[in-house]
Amino acid sequence: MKLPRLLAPALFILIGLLVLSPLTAMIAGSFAARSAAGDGSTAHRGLDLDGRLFMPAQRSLAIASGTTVLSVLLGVPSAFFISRAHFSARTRKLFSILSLLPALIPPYIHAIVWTHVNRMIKPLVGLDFHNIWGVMFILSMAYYPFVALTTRSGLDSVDKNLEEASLLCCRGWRTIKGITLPLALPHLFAGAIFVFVFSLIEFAVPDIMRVHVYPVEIFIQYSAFYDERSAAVLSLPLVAVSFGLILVQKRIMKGRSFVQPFAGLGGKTAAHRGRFLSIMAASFCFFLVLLSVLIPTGVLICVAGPVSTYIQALKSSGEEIGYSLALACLGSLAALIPGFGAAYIRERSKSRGTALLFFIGLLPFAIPPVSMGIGLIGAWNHPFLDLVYGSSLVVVLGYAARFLPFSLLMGSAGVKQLNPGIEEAALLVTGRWTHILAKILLPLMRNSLAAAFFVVLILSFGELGSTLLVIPPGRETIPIKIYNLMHYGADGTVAALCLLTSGIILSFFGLFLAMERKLGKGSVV
Amino acid sequence: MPKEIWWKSMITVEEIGKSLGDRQILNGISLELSPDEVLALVGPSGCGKTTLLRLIAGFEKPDAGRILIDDFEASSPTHSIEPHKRKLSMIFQDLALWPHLSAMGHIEFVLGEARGKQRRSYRERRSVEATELLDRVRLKGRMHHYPHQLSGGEKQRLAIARALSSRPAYLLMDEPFSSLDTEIKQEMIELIGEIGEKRRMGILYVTHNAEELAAIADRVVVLKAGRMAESSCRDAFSRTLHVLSAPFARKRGLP
Repeated sequence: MKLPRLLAPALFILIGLLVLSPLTAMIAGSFAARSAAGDGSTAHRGLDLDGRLFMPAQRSLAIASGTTVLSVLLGVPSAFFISRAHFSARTRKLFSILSLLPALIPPYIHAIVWTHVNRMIKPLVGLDFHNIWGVMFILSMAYYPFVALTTRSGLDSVDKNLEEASLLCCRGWRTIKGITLPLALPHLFAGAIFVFVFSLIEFAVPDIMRVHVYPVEIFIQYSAFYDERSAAVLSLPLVAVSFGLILVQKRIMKGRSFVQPFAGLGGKTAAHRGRFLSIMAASFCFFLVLLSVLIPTGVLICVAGPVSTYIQALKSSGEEIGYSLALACLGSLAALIPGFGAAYIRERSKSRGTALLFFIGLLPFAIPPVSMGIGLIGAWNHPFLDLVYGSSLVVVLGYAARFLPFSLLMGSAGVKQLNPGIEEAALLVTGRWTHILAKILLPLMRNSLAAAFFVVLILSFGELGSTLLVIPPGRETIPIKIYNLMHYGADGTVAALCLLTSGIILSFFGLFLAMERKLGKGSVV
Repeated sequence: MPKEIWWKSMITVEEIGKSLGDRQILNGISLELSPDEVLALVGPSGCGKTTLLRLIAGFEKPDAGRILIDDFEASSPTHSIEPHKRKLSMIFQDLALWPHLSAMGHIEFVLGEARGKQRRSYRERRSVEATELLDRVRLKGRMHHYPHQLSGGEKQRLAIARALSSRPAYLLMDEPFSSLDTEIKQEMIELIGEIGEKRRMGILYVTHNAEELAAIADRVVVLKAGRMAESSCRDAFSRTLHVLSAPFARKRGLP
């Protein structure tokens, strides 16, 4: 279909504004002269970080690697069991939904929970979570669903005939090893790379667990030493490594969709049956849900105490909750339009320009939240842009920029499902592009749009790293309020707010599931 | 006394029934397939042909009746032996070639892996056997190619080679030639006929196509709405199809 002439340039400007402006500002900041506190030297030489840089980098890599391994060990069996064990359609859907929940809860809430657990069990068993092992464990609890989700998508996309052809000559285990897993391997790798990158750039969890990692060092350089240049310079290698991995991931996936959450439900593959497998599968899935959802919820309920704590927390934080909700909604809408637009033109016109636009859109995956915050300040903190920087608009731009890749990937998956012939058939009737968009494209992509909106909304609602740096004076989002209260030792209120935040996020998820049921299955996330 | 006489070597389907939700897919189907015959299963779309094949292969359990393979109960509503223990193989409608394995890899995967000290010598023997089989279906020069690098006919031949490599006693074929042009189809029919005859292999063949029926089948079973409409021998083909499934036959351009 012939696209409107101005669509591509408009999207370039929009995505450039969202992604390239903070990134360019960050890179420019790394070359800029030092602030008044510095020595005035330019460029990257002479960075006064002595030996303190090496250890955080090493720790970050160790945490990212360990979290990835642990997430694969937990996520792959969980995906396999949910996809292949002989569950009823209802049980399968229940486990599918439950296995997503840990990823919906912001990682800093997981960290808060396990600090409380640490306090309870340390005197008894001497186990301490305030080290890189603890961070690995907590991040795995938050991120294993990414591996489970992508792997399950891979497993569900394996043609059942391929497995059945193997089952005619081999036992179930050989079929799993020789056919099923190799075919789902690209999705497994994609999930593992997501986890590695997210753990590498994670700031909040190591900070809460008092483990000095690379992103924490960036934050310290910026907020404690007021050294913008060092913070920017430190961000660059992290961005380069992460983006390199994202490119590898794109290459591995070769244009496949990352996730199809409820595809294949209802026992599509009748391959690996057996009562033993079903019992083992149910036990394993329940154990994971217990560890990553039920225990954290129970701990928070215990710490929060009586109902009055919740009422008090709601009273004192109602404004922050409303503010966070409004910003998250705006951020989600702001990410949706360029994300779906870029995905559409990428899928429909396979030119180099659209490929470049797509890759620019993916860049924020690789930018640590703290670095994104530094970039946003560099880009928008100018007297003539006070309307943006002095208001909450900068937070919305931050959300849109950080979570644009999710919107882009979901949009791409949604467009891939559309047969181009549908648009061509419409073109025979009308030449108005807006008409085709409104009457054909948007109704057909409503599931993907709804999924993208809710995912970005949930992620924005829990965003902490970049918001911490760009929030206007006198305002607080709910994650910032929790983060600040935590440092004042208000455990009960913090736990109540964590539960309220999780409850709001879960209600978004419930709303999405209800909408999906109403709109019909087949959405692609 | 030779062992063979103790059991009847055939697939026996007895009063098989299968439903999906409220819909009865198969209802009281009974048939027999001997080791040296080609039985064609015909009928309109949705009449349960593929479901019957899947039940015989052991991918699904019947709701009623039972399936005996060489006089052993292979499937019943309460019991089902695993597909790989049924001495049968299948050529799927979409071929179901494994995209991550080469032509050689397909055959080697089916031939399996030996354990312990014999591993190395077994690998050599396996390689020789795979090469011979690929040579027989004229794929020797393409043995290191992956399915996406093969032409339509070559993919078809690979699917046949894979099905034969496990030395099955019975071969199930689910409209395997439906997407081929006439020339390749003819070639494949000849190949199957030749191999079936040489190996004394029972073939259960699902098709829509009258030409394929005439070229391959010894017997025809017509299914209609999940029930067996008629079973007849080769000589009664035309009459059976004409009289008992006239609308279907007319649709397919049969006399």
